[in-house]
Amino acid sequence: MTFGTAAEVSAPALRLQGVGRRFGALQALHDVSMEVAAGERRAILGPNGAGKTTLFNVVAGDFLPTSGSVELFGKDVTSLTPYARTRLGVCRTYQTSQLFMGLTVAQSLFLAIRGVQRGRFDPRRPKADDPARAHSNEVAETVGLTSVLQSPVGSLSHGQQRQLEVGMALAGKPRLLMLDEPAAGLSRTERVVLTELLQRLPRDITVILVEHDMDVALAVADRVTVMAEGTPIVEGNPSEIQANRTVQDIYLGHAVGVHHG
Amino acid sequence: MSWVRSRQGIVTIVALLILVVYPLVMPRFWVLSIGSYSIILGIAALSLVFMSGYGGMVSLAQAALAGFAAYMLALATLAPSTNATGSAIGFGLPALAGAVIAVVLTTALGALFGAISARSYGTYFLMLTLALAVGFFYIVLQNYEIFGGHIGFAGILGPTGQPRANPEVFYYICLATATAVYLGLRYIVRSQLGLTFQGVRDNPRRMAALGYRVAAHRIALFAIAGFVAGLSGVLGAWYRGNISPGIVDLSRTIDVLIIAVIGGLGYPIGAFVGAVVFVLMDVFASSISLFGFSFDERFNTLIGVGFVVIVLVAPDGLVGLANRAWQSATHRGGGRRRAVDPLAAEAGLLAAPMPATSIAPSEPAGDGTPSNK
Amino acid sequence: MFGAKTGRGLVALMFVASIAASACGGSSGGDKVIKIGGLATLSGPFAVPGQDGFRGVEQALAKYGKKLASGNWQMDGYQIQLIKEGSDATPAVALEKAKKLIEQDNVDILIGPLSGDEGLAVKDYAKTVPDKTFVNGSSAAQDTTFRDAAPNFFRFSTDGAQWMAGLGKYAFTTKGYKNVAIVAEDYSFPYTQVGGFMYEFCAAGGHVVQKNWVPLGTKDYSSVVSNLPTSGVDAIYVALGGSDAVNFFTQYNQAGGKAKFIGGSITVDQSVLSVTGSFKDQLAGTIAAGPTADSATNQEWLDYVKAYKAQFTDGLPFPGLFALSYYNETIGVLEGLKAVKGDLSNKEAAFMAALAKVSFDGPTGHVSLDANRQAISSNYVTEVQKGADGNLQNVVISKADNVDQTLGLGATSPFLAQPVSRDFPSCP
Repeated sequence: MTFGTAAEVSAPALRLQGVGRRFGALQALHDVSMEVAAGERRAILGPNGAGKTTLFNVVAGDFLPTSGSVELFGKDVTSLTPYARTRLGVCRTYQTSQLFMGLTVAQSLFLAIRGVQRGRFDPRRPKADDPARAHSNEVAETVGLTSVLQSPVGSLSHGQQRQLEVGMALAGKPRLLMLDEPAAGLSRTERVVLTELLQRLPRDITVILVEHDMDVALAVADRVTVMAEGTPIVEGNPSEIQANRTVQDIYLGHAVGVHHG
Repeated sequence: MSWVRSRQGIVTIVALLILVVYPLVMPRFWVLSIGSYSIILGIAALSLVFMSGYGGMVSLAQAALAGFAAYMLALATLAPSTNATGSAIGFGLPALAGAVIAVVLTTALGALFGAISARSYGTYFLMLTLALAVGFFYIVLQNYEIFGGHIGFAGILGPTGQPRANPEVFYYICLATATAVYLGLRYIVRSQLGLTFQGVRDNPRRMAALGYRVAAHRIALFAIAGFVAGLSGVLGAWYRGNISPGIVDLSRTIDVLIIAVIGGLGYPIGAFVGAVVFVLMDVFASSISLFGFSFDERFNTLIGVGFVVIVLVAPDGLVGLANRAWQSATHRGGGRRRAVDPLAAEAGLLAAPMPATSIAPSEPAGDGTPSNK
Repeated sequence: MFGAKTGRGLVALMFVASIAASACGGSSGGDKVIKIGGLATLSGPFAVPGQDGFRGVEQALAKYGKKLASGNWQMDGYQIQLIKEGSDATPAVALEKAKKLIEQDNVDILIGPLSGDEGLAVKDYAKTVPDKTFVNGSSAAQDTTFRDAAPNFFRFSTDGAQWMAGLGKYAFTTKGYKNVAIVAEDYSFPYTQVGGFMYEFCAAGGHVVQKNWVPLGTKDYSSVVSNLPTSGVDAIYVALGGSDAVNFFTQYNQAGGKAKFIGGSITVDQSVLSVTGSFKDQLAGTIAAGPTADSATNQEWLDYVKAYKAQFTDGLPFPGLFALSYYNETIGVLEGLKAVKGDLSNKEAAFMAALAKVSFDGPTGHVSLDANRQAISSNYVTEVQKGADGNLQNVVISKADNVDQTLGLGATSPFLAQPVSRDFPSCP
């Protein structure tokens, strides 16, 4: 199943085959096989402990899978390091912000841009007409941080830090953007802004999204994968998922149960 | 803010003038044993401050790197027969050529130390660099044929001969080197490479996710610090005229750390302030008597107490203390919040102090457990 | 961070500098004051010997003068101010402290340092300050005076080779040891001790079949012990100090080693003999040599020990060889000053000339200087014996007087053709 202009895409953005990840006695991921087409928006849902973040870490390369293989854009990356995968076009955010608290917003975005370009070891100061400067301004505008461009990251509000988290992932010109609970801790207004931002992303970016907020997740996603106990159990479009009994039982029901219990 | 900058400009110019005039008006002992020696120790401490402040790497290997440079200088410049063990090692090169070789090799050793320790963080990094330093001490102590054993090498001469022959010239060589290193590091930390160091310091895991080979950047940082330590080692060898394992033993290693902490681990200029205080205390502690009690045989106690007091009164070092006093005196709070932006030209001279560097910066390992939500 | 703090840091710097400058200084009225700098090791492994060395200096000052309330010592027509500095037994620090005393405190005479490599460094420095007088402390490397001597450096104590006088002959002739292996620390002082032993032992016809050099402070001697020949060796010459010696003796004994021991001058002192351990029985019969012997009975020694114990209630049970060395050096200085009535004018020329001619009867024998301004004096051979109470003690076997730096071989002897080192002399 492909989205966007099917002709220009041959390989899926992400293909997982039989991926497992074990931490000691704990089998965090178990026989995960999944394909995400180029240009697709995929939401991954599931209760706590379902293995969503572990899956992200396996795709990003933070953890190597203990079994199975990971393919990005048709290339086997199973044993590739995180930085090499990033250079292939995989950019991610974190559930808890991973920022540079001693730097400014502009510096953080500049680093994010330079990370996938040449000049990472350039011992000179950036030139005034360095395209990365203009690019970081664009990204700041996209995520609404233009007014705090020169502020230290440590002085930003939580919401602004979450915006920067997304901005740094976008700055790396991703082909595959992986967002781990981008709406966590945001106010209702901020969630609306975030949702619109995600909906506006061009279709040459594939997006995988872990999100607890159903409004955000279902508004953005074309397709949804529901995970439980380390393995995908259902896949479908948003309306199918909402109607699915199993999902209601194990996920929505579970969540409601937690709420009331 | 412009008046602050201009006043700082005046203070800087006055300070530089004093430093330049200093050897012309002071006796030789003050020019060499206090002035030059402080600068040499300050450069070594600066290499540590640079690593900890901009890379979050508190290294205990800087004294060993400086010592390595001194050994390489000795081997390059001494005539073969000068070897204490009588074995024919030594190339008899001119002093400056030897210095270049020594510093280049020390930079390479810094990179090697970096490669060994690049994947360790916090206390583990500290212990690993300590192990490298102690290992280096035993290597030079026990390899008589190459390093001259316990006695080491004597008769190392600088480009101007013995420092005491031309104290002012030697002092100016030290001062010029320190100034160049200081300005050079200041340039580097505002460069793109310097920015990556600070990114690695703040969040190595995120840097990897942005496409950086974190280990390579830490190795590069270690190599630059090795270069700086190497310069200190070359000047130190010229200053002493000799090199022996006593110069790279554990107490010298700790001296460098003490100097950096006294001055303030987050402040490059603190390396030099710390060095001056350290040298003055070391030299004059035995001359101090309080209420008729002389410390001449117990000067080490006095030095130790002095350091404890400094660390208690000024946890971020003397420069940090002066900084805070300055800010409260000028009613300008929040100085530590101000950040440098190497990208923004208007940032000018004002550079951000580092977030207080702790001995154990954040680990990159992140979620080692599969905690999901 | 770079840049902005420069000015403030320098202000702090100057503040500290002004404190430090005001803290030093000090003066006194009345007679002319001659400043003597005392340099000994006050931290590291030789801190205790360093303190004992300073006791030697003060004992000599007390013998010749009277301590004033100012802390100075009143002599006949002049005062002496003693300024002490401590090193950590490394040449680099000893050199720094010597420079500080000479250049900052402006001392007229420097007495020190304590250990061999420090002495070599200070001797080299002395050459660059020809108008100041340097007198050794207790450092005992041969080449502090023997080769490339400094004309203004004097040593009224004997060197580490002289401390071996009588031992090589005694080992070969009386004890009948023909083949000896050596275990010694790897720096200039043990080189000198081993050399002094071998001068006599090799000249008498003995063989040193193996030398093991270990770093100072070695704790694990297992590789050395296993490397030692199990047969064909009559004795092992051990030049290790303090805890190093105890560690070696213990590990050699536990490994079943049976050879007799020959000790250096600081190997089998009372601190080693009083340690309890299975190796103690093996130590009986160990021969050694050195410039002092606690059990000497000559009147000068007894008077010296009595004065030491009276002056220093916190001192060691007996003044050690460090106290004795510093004492003799200071006596030499005071005799020299007496001869010129404290006149240090004309770049101390008259004083240095007088100093070179000083001779006196010290606690252990007559002391005079040779052409290199090096002491010619007495030396003891001792042997560890079990006393009536079962405790081990050093007993004087013989005493040699007027031992010169070549141990009587003469400066042209092939044994003295090269500096002592790991490989020289050699008689396998």
